[in-house]
Amino acid sequence: MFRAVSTPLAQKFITGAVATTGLGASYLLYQDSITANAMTAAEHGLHPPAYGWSHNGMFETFDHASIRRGFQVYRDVCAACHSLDRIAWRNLVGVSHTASEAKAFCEELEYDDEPDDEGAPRKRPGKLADYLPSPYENEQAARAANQGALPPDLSLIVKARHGACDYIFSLLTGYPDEPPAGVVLPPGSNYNPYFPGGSIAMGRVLFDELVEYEDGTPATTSQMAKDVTTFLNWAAEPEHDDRKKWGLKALIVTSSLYLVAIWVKRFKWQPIKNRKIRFDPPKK
Amino acid sequence: MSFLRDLIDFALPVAYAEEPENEDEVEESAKVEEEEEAEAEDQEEAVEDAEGDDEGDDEDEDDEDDEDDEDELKDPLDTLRDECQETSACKPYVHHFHECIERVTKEMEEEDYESKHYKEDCVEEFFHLQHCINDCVAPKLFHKLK
Ligand code: HEC
Repeated sequence: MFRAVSTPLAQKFITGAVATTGLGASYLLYQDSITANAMTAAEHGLHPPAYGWSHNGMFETFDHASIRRGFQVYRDVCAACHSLDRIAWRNLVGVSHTASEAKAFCEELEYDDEPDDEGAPRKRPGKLADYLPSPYENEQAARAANQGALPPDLSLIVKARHGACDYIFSLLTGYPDEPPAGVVLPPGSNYNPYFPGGSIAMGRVLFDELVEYEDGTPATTSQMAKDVTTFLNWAAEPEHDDRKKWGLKALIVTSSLYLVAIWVKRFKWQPIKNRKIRFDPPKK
Repeated sequence: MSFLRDLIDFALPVAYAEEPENEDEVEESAKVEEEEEAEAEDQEEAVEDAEGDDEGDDEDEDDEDDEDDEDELKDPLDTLRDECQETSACKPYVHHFHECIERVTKEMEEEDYESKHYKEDCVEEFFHLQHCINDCVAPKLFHKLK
């Protein structure tokens, strides 16, 4: 076989075949790239700008007053459609609310209790250990109520989207009054430039003065969006504040250990570095 | 500064306040009220500042708004967006966007629009404009929010 390839004619033939295949493939790809309109700007979605979140720095913690306001926005607005499965009432205690405030929230609600002696289901008021309730029984019910679109669980949404807080904030505040001319939206959807593809099933939900803040903060759309995003960031990263505190401690401890190590090394080596080696040649 | 505070927090034992007992609550709420008053004053100042900024061309509109409702809330995001649209950096994008809308609307009125192979939209022009506005709004907005 090797002998066959080594004849000049066969070599020419193989080179020709390889060249034709390569050129042909390149031409086809080029043709395809002219007509295909994959990944337009609209499909990527508009990139959100970087906002100055108060928890952005390496040693910055969450703004807990903002978390508290954000919970109010979630409870009054978003909770109508979105669940927050991973947060229990007890998680709010010491973060945004006191124990009795959180208890007051959950005691307003009914949760399934153990069945009675006849096996009939019973209800009981909520406890701190209960998780936040979902607005819908199951996914089908959620889709049916939202024209087939599923409102995602918001527990981890900040971690689950490129752009994190900046994206969520921009999404909530980014609904233009009308879509740019020429954009055709499927029925029941809304235009939002930040949502990849531009057509989102969730309409604009935040409007000025939709909620009334107990601390008197003016409830503008952007204020509510900022607060609810901070709240959702906390929900996705409840360990955030502790993590940064531990990071700081780790830095302090490791850097002091480093300094101690340098000192110990110099201490141990001092006699060796400082010794003087003298050679006295023997006298003749 | 908060780095320093963290350091101090770390070095010193930290005490977390318990919930206020019922007796204290009266005092507490009195304090809160005082704070609220102070804040309200701050806001009024802020509103005045904002109004001072967009004096001139849209003064008449402002006056009309004021008549409707004395303490109408204006989202700082909307104010900033309006201001940023007028900057020399973003003016060209506004121009292109409006030009595109005009062009596309005209095209849509043509008879054979439905059967056209390629239908233009203004998404790209819109994105360029929004990008410019965002770059101008983003560094300022969070100083105006709490
Ligand atoms: C009327 C019901 C409704 C309300 C109220 C609502 N949403 Fe949604 N939301 C939806 C639906 C439906 C979707 C799914 C959209 C889609 O996939 O097209 C969605 C999607 C989202 C997404 C995911 C977007 C993505 O990138 O996939 C986020 C984030 C979100 N909502 C946040 C919120 C926040 C925060 C609030 C409260 C301020 C809120 N929503 C209030 C119905 C709602």
